[in-house]
Amino acid sequence: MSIVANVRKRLGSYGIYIALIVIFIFLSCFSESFLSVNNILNLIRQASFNGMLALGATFVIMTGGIDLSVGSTLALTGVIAASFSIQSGAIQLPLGLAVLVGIIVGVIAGLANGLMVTYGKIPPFIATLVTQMVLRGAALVFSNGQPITGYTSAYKWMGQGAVGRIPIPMILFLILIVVCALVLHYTKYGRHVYAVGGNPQAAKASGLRVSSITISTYVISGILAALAGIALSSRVNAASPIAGEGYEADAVAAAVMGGTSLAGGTGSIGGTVAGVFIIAMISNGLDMLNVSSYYQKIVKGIIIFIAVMLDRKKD
Amino acid sequence: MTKWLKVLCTAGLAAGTVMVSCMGAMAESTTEAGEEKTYKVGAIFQDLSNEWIVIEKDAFLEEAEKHPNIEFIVLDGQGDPANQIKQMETLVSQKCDLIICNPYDQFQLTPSIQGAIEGGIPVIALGTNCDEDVGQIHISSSNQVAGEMQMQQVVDDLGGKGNIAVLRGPNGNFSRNGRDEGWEKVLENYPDIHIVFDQAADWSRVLGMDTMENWLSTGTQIDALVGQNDEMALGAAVAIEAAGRQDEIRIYAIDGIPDALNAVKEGRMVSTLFQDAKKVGKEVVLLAEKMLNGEEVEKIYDVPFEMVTIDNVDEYFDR
Repeated sequence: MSIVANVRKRLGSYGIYIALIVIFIFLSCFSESFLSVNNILNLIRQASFNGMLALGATFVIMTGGIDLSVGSTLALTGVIAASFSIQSGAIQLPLGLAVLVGIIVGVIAGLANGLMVTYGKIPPFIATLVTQMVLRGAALVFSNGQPITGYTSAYKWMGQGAVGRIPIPMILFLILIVVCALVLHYTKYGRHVYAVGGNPQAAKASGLRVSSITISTYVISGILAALAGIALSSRVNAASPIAGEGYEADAVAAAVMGGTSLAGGTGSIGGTVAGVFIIAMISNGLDMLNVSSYYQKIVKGIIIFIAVMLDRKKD
Repeated sequence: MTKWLKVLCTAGLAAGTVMVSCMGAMAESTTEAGEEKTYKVGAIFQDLSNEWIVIEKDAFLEEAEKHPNIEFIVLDGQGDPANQIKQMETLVSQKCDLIICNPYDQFQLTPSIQGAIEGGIPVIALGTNCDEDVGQIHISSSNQVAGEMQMQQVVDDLGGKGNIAVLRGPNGNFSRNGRDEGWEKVLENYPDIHIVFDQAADWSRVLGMDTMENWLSTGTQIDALVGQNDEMALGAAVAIEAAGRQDEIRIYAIDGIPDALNAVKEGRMVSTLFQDAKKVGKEVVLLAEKMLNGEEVEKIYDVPFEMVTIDNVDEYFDR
């Protein structure tokens, strides 16, 4: 009996990876072109944008918070960075500076969220809902409701370029995975994030600066949303002020599927990345199998449900 | 929070509210002090974060300024029929002489429109019509005709046989349903045209691109990509070009946004159908004026789509 319980417990903590592998094998069998190099590259690139948001969500949710503003941050940074990178623009910045401006916007969004949550004592759900609305409005005002097009070739490279066959957004995503994993799992700061989420009172009592750590997670989320916004606006050749609507849902879903607890204190970058790829594989695979969009939503819902069930700690 | 911080916040909130209401008053009404207004017209747009609707609204306001005897109140439905229902009620209680409604949904606004008409306020349904005739006047560009024009061109270009992939608007959307009907009408006569891929990409460039990439991965022969709007088709075009299959797959779209006109000019897209947002925005003001002056008007007013190809694309850049 204890062996069975042990197996189930072990399966519990690896459930998400098992779900990932099962879906992967299933799609490989049912769609002959799923396993092509081309499609795998597509799949990873398509996953990159939600992936960046989900990495940020992992940090925030780890502290017991939530960030609903990432979709709006993505849109606002996209239109701002793009507006400095169009051929007919009044001010043209080199790619590096345009990206920097975008990141600054992300930092400001994150600071606003963090300050409201810590010093303002506003529940994260409401605080980030406020920024979600304000930033979406700001993106519409800034762009006058119109998509921004006509990029310089440097800006196009961010989302459309490749090194060899490897697309730039994918490289960016892979680098960010490594950086986030190192920060969260191998630094003192990472341990503090876990501590704050696990038990904020204890963390405070042991001398941790809980507010600063909480704020920093929102800033990380803001920066990642900014990078995703820049790369996405570049990839689709137009920065739309209505981009990213509803993206926060997929980001949170990926993190939570990957074992990040909404109550804070548990989670891992590996689990989140697995969650991201499950969500991306569902759309990719169902498109290739030409499943009607009516059924896609149902199938997506059911697969997320099964993945979360597999991942539940069974004690 | 300290007491002072609270006071500060309250003051800020009050100041903000006053400022926003002033801005709102400027933006939402064309009234200026001292002018005589004979009529009051309310206009509810479906979503002023949509590029096309914004173009329509700007042309509307431009024309509205030329009619100083009419006061126009412009509201944004923010993509939510429930908002629009509330706004209809507000305009009725403000005793408008006429209401222009650009419904987000053909079903949910019908009772509100009917209510206004029964209360003696004539209503113009702009773009989307309501699902039954409750006495409204409808002005739009017919989506069925657009779907037919587009698919007929695709069929002709392919010589009546081939594989096509189609990107549709959101499930249940009014424009999409109309364009679907137009497609059906043409396709039933051509059994050798096969729809090999079919997906709703919700008017979105990103989704159009992702979906196309996934289809391209299958290696299936595709002779044409037919999009129900420009954004989705433009996204798909980027994917097709990245795969180097632009010589195999012809691309067709609808709307005529500037980016699509460029694509047609560069030969990356075969055609788009130009829906004249500015003309619709302008015509609706003229139509309203006619109705207010008691003139007889047709029940349905069509501003037709126009086919844009490489031969005539230059005419459309300034429109």
